[in-house]
Amino acid sequence: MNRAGRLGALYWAVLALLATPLALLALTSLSDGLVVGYPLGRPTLRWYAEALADPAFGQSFALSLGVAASSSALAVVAGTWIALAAGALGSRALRWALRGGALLPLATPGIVHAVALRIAIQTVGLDPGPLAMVLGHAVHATPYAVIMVGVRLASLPPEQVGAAKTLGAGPARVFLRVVLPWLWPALFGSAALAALTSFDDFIRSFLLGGYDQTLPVLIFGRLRSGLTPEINAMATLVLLAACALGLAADCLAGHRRRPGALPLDPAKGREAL
Amino acid sequence: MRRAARALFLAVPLIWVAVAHLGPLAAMVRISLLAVYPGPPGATPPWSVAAYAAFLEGTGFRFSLWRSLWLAVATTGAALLLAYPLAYHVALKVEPARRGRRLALLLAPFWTSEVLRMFALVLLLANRGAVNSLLRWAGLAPLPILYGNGAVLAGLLYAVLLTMLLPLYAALERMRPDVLAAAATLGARAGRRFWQVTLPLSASGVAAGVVLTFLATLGIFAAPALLGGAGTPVFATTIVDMFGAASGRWPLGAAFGFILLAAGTAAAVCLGALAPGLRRARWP
Repeated sequence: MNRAGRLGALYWAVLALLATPLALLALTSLSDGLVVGYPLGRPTLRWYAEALADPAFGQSFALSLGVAASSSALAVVAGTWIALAAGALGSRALRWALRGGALLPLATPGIVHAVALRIAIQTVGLDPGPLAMVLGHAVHATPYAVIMVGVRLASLPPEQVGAAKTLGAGPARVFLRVVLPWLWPALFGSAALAALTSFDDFIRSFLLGGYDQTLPVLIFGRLRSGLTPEINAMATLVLLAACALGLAADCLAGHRRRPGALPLDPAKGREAL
Repeated sequence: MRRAARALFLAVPLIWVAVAHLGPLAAMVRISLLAVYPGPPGATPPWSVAAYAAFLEGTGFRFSLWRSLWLAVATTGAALLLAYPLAYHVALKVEPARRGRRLALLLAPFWTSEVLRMFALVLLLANRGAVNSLLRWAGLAPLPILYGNGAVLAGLLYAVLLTMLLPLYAALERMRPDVLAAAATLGARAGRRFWQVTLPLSASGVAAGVVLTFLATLGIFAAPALLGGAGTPVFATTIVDMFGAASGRWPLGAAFGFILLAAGTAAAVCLGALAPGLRRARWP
């Protein structure tokens, strides 16, 4: 086999290696044995019925989705604002400080970030719970939004902004009619990525959630007290939910490649004024 | 009016970053220098470096930091060796139209939570797991993989491979394939093309990947907590223990967090400093 062929084979082998544990996780959840493991028993959906009937599962699912949606919205607003301000700041030192500070959560090891956030909410007197998780997840996801929106913003043709200004649009109108439509793909993409990051997050939720458990925290706790077929089924359901979120994020991020909205169409320009 | 609105537009993100991004780290450093926390209501606890002294005194704490650091070095090295050929393949050997799809396929396993990936590894490596069942079926003795160093290393790699893959891919995708063709025309063989063209051109991606992967690995708690055992403490689990309801040694946990951040950043900077060396690589 030639070298290109060997590389291709390595690609598929690693892909199989990465996917196999997850596939086996789903497979074992369908076995009717009381102990999780091999050899597998007969196929059954019993554990899914038990997982869905478990009130803790439903609560955690709702909490996970709620925290993901709120923190993603907050992260996109913060990230967009930071990216816009970083482009508009006159002082080079301030611009550098803002960009560096905005990307800081990306380079902080997860456990350190989680501990720092836990201490921060204690310092300001906020109890662990859903609000603390929303804030913590939003801070964690903000750098992704800053990067994605910043990249998109850099490709905005400056003549569009110039034309709008020449035609008499103020800063607010330029933002709403020119900049925002150009940014939509990056906004959707970073919102989906932030939601997925929050839905998957473990260590921040673990330290910031208190008695409110998101799905990864719930599964972690149950795993520590023993492996049961019911957790196996729960984990498979969460795996499917994360796949759906991931597919959505992938599709939305894929839109970035398409040319942006708002062509310099005279008819649309008149309408915008 | 216009000026005030502009000042507000620029000030809000600066304040937000200062409060939400730098504030927690500052609060962590402050708590690490307090004698007790949370202290008695109303009173401010005295300042103290006892938490840092405790780190230097006990060999157990230093041992767990040391283990964390070498596990992170091993994980980063393994991730680089595994991710580089993958990123190279997708960025330079797959035709552009199919590149996005191939990359997305490789990223898909990382859509799931770290906890679920570790759970999946437990099912794979446990005594009744897939690997040992296969060994038994083949008439061999099962291996006690779970709760050892190997399992933790596999878990860390499964957790952070993506962090290495993306910067490498970004750097390699920017590379123009014609430079490789030019090098070949000028008589460079495969080894020389790699060391003197591909690697120097992707040095920024290697540096970014190594630094980010190293820092991310240090921060992972789920892998050692679920795949490691009593004999394999790492600094992340040591830190979390300090915040348990029963122990409540917050200043100690905060100090350890800061020590991990400082040691990790210092080590990452050293690793990242190797990148210019890659840029000047020579083939003998």
